[in-house]
Order: sequence, then C-alpha cells, then structure tokens
Amino acid sequence: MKRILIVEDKATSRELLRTVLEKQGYGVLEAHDGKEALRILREGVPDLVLLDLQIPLHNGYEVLREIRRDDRLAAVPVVALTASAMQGDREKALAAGFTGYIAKPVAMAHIRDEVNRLLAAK
Amino acid sequence: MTQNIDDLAARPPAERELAEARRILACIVESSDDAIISTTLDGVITSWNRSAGRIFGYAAEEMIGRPVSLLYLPDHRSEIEILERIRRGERVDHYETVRRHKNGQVVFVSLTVSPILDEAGQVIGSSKIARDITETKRLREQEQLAQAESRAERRFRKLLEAAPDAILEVDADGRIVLLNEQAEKMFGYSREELLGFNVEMLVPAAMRSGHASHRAAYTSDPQTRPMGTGLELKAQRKDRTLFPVEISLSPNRTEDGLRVIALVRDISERKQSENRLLAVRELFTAELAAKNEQLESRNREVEKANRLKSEFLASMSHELRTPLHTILGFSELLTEEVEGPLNPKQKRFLGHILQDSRHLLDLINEVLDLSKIESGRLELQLEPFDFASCIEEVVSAIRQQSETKSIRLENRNTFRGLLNADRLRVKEVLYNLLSNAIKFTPEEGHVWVESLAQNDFLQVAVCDTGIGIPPEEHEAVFEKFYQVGDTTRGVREGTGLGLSITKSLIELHGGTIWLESQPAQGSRFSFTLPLAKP
Repeated sequence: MKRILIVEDKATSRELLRTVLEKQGYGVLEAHDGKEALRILREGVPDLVLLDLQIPLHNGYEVLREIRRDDRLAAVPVVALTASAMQGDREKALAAGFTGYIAKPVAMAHIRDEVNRLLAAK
Repeated sequence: MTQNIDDLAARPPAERELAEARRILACIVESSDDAIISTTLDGVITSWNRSAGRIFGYAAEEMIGRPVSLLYLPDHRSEIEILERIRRGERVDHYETVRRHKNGQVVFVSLTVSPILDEAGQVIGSSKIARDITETKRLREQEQLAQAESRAERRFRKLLEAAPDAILEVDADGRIVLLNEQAEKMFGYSREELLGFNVEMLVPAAMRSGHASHRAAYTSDPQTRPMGTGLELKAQRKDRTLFPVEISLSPNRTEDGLRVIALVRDISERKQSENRLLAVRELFTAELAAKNEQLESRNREVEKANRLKSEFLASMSHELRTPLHTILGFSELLTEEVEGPLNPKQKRFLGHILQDSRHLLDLINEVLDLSKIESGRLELQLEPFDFASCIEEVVSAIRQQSETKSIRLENRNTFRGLLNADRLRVKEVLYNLLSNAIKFTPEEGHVWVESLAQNDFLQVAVCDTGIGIPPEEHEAVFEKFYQVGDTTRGVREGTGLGLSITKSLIELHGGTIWLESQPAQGSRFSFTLPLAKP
C-alpha cells in the first residue's frame, strides 16, 4: 500500500485530505508542521508528500530543502499546497523543486487525480 | 613806350604836353600793384606793366606781341567766354581764376577786364587788371578751415558733455587728458581734480596694481572692445565708495601719441535690479523645491497606503479562502456519498451549501483580482491561441445555467483565427458576460455570442433578449460595486465587481468594451481583443 505524508496544521484540513486519500486506498501519515514532518521522514520514506506552505512559523521552502538534502528522500514527489494565488507563486514553487503545486481551495476530485497521477508514475 | 627825356625840351609845346600826359599815365600804370595788360581782340599782348612782370614772371619784351594764352593753364576754357563778352562791349569784374607763372606755379588772380574803344566806339582790344590773390586766398582758406575746426570742436564738446556715460581719454602714461561732465558727476571730482592725474585714482585701491599692467597690455595691442568681459568691474568715487561699472575702450591715435578712450557706465541700478531678481528667483526656487518635496513625500505616503491596502486585500483573500477549502471539500465528499447514502432532501441541502460556497469563492477571487488590478499587479499572460475553442469551452461550461432557465444558448462565432491575449482572462470575460446575460434574461429567452474580425482586432458581442439596461446607466454598469438596480426587480447577485473587472481586463489588452441596450429590449455587450499577428 502506498503511503502519503500530509503536512498540514489545520485539523479539519487534515481530516479532509485523509478521508479523500484513504478512500482512494492510500495509507496516510500526518504531521502538523515541518519539524514533525522531518521526524516522521527520518523514520521512514513515504511515496508522496503533500506540504502546506501556509503553516505559521514554518517555511515550506526550507522544509523542501531539508527533504531534498536527504538522499533517501531526494526522489520523493513533494506537492505544495497553498491558498496563495499570487502571480508567479506556481513558477516559484516549481523552480524551487516542488514536484507539483495545488492551490487551495481545491476540488477533491482534482487532488485525487493529481495524487493518482504522481503515484502511478512511480 | 617811352621817349628820351632829353628830346622833350626840343619839341613844340603841344607835343610836350602830350608827351607829359603820356608819361604820367605810364607812371600810373607802372606804379600799380596789380598787373595791367592790354591785348588785341585776338588776345595778342600790346602792353605789359611792371607788376605783370612781377606776378607772372615774364618781362615786357617777352610778352608784348605774344598771345595772352601763354598765361593760361592747359585746359582753361572760360577765358574764351571773357573775350566774347569784351567783344560785345561788356565788362568783367573781379573774376577769380588761375594763371600760370613763368616758373610753372599756379597764381590765383582776380581779373577785371574792360573793352578798349576807339573814337568811333568800336571795341579794338581789352584791358586786363589782374590782382594776385594767391596769398589772400590762402589766408581765406586757412580761416575757413580754422572756423570749421572750431565748429567741429564745439560740436564735439557738446556731444561729449551730452553723453550719459562718463568719457575719459587717457594717454600712454595713464594720465587723464580729456573728460566730460558726466565723468565729474559719476566720480565726484571736479575737472581740475582729474585732468593730468593718473586714471588709477578711479580704480579701487585693491585693483590698482593689476590695472596698471592691464593698461600696459592694452596699449601694446589696442582694440576697440569692452573691458574685462564677464568680470565684476568696480570703480571708486572721491568719497572712497565703490560702485559697479561697465567699461569699453577704444584706441585713439593722435599726433600726441596713442590715447585710449574709455566709456564708463555706472551699472549700480542695473546690478540692484539683477540682484533683486536673483533673490526673488532663489526664493521661488527654494519654495518650489520645498513644495516638490512635500508633494513627493505625500506621494510616497499614498503609494505606501495603496501598497498596504493591496497587501491587506491579498492576505485577507488568502485567509478567507482557507476555510472554504474544507467547506467545499467536505461538502463534495458528502455529495459523493462517500460515507453513506443521502436522502433527496439532504442532497438538496448539500447542493445549496456547495453552490453558495462556490459562489463565496468566486466573490473572494473577484476581490483579489480587483486588488491586483488596482495596484497594477495584474500581469497578463499573452499568447496566441485559438479563439473558437476557447469560446466553445466557456459556452459548454455555462450551458447548464441556461438550461435551468430554458434559455436558448447559441455560439454564433465563425472566427477561426488566433487571438493574442491571456487565454484564462478571456475565458473569465466571456464567462462573466454570458452568465450575466443568462441571469438577466427571463425564462425561454435567447442568449448568443457572435464575432467580427476588423483590422487588428476581433470584435465580440454577447447578446441577450433580457430586461435591458436604461441608457443613462450604460456607463455606470462598468463601475465597481454597481448593480443594476430597482429596474431589475431585485435581481441582485454578486459583488457588482464582475463587469468592472471585465472592463479592466479588456482594457489591459488594449481593447474597448461598450454596451448597447434599451429597457425590455435586451442587451448587447461588445468588446475588442487584439488578433495575433501572422
């Protein structure tokens, strides 16, 4: 069973994502911030990471750098989730090394499709 | 013609009287200081007195029997006229003319010529009396010259004194040799205090040594020119006060050596005016600078306020979207009956929740767009794209809305070319106009979209058979927060931002948008977008 790590500070959002992903048949790991995420990542490598960029006191780009620094994790797809919709955000994220970029709010169908696509490619 | 005196005693008395008379006449003729010459009518000299010899340099023997024209200058014609008048019996009085001395020199004479008549009264010759006026003439000319000079001198004096500027003439050693009244007034000295004194006394003490060497330099290459162009020249009065001057110099070569004429103008008043003007200008410039500074700082404040506002709006909209994420998400999950089936009522309720949540999301997006447009941060992603497929997508997306109201939705676009625009934004514009059309058209109505290519632009029109918009509101509809009001019987939806954003988007592309509509006669919203260049 493929496993997805959700990094999201809001409990409701986590629940939402978990419901959708578990229904798709994926295993879900949850972290409420970057620090916890890295801890979980040290214990095991997931098949996908969904990383919310809007967690307070947490720089999503730095977390990504940390992840990429680890050789074990270099190949894991990391998708940025954000409610920001400023021009250039998407390009910035992709340029920094995120595998994908999803702007919130997002139709659940879209999340499903995107996750399926990325995991099918592996 | 003289006879021997000794012979006289031997003659008869009548003859003796005649001889005596002749001798007296001869003495008189010889005693005259003027030349007395008689000639025949043809001009042959018949008598020549002693003074004639003195004046013309010829002895009697040399001239008697010779033509009088020997005395004439080579091209003298007027003599012929004199002879003519004599022949007629006229007399010529004090006629001034010239003759030639034996030595070639010119002699000025005053002639008196009379006819000699015989007993019958016929003219048989002429008698000329010539007075040598050479000397007189010379004296006369000298006097005239002196008078003219003295007149010229007087006029010169007058001019000098009348000049509004001070005029000084200085010799090679720097002494003042000439000055006018204005110079006295300007410098505060009397004539006597200046004449013969060195011109440096008029130069401010500090500049004196320099001035002397400048004078020397000028004397070596004198030219008419202004002195020290561009320099602030000053002069010194008798009371030691200084005043600003303008000086121009001219060389004057006289018999007494090189003189320099200086024209001095007191420019105190002019300097004062200049300084006043400068002061005013500086004041003005300073005020202007201060005002500009004020304006700039206010501009900065305004910019800052705008920026803060935009940033606020942007962050607010992010904050607002986040909860929507879960609202929409869970609503969708429920609708999909992921956690169990729903009864029809539950499904309908959920439908409302979903619809309004999506609506809320649209509103938030609109506000965000608006804040971007206002702060000039909306960037268009221009690219050439196929218009026909773009419009087809929008029409499909909106078809459900039209079907709900049984409105006939038609895509009459025939343009197959490419537009150079932001595809996403064009879709937004079409979506906005089409959804408005559907909103404001009653059931069973008709909404369609058509296009026409013109020059560099594509003109697109979204038309409906809806309630229409009164002409007085045609411009206002495009304003922010405007909502077609009471006339529409309460069909109020949205923030009223849609058309304002649509207009901004069109205008950002360089196009225009306008409305044709009448109440109850439907509406036609037209806009232009640039075609892709081939």
